[in-house]
Amino acid sequence: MIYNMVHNEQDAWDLAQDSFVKAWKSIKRFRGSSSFYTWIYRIVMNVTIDWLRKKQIKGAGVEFDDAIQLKEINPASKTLPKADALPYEQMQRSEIRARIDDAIGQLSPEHRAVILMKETEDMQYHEIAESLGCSIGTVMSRLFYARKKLQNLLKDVYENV
Amino acid sequence: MKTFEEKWTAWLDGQLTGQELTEFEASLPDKAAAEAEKSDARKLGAFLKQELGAQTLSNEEFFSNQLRERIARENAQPDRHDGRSTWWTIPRLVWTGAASLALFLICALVVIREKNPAEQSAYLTQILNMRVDAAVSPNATISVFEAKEDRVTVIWTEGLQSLPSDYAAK
Repeated sequence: MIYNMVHNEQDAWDLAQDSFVKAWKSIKRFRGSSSFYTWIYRIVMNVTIDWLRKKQIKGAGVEFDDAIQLKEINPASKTLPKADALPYEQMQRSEIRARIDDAIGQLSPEHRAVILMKETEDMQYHEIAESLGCSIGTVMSRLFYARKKLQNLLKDVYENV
Repeated sequence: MKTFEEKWTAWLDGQLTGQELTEFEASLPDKAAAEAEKSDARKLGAFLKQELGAQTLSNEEFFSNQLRERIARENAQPDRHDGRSTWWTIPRLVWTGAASLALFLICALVVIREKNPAEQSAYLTQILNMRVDAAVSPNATISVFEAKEDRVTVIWTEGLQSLPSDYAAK
């Protein structure tokens, strides 16, 4: 989920770790008013959306820089999470993935979160609302615009797959 | 009251039922186009799920280790606030500030009062000691009214024919 939001494996690992540490530190504050799953999702989303906003403010970086980063990292490094090289047969898939990443990258962090939670995590509106700390109406409205935008950007891709 | 966007989303996800569904479908200007749009949105959803949803951690052990190490590291680090004075909390700072201000005002009032002694000023003494020439103004009378609280002195003269030469205050 985080990777789908930030499109960079290293950043996704770091953010996941930050989120878990934050959850661990504030576990005493979990009162059980929502499910643990929703609570931890809320932490993950807050950490990720904050990170995306900060990155947008900085602005100069290339957002989807997995390819660049992988070239810069020593594959033998012990701290590098294992990343299998893509075989030639998967070139088309990686192109599709790049199109999806590019399209999702054009959404705001909030719209990204909503569409990914709904479409890839199968979360209900109320779960998304709790995770993002907004109303169900806001979730539905964001979903409307996120879908419209992705339909425009990816129509040729998913029509031909 | 749901907005159009909310109703549309609920309709796409099959969350509209009963009268709400009937009313919404009746309000659509082109139902065939809307159905096509719905089908398209569902294709998008399935496509995203297929492409993005099936990712698994290839290195969960590594992640767990890193996480455990970090938590252990953070546990080992003393709390930044430990050993330092935590007496100056925000409410205490506010109360201390207010108390200091009140003390300053009290001191200032005391000092101001001391600078305004009750005794008469040299100017008033001079006026009270003035002489009136009885030959020039035989019926002259001078009355002095003083309100010390208000720091006001009124000198009331009657029957004065001319001012005495030494009247002016020096």
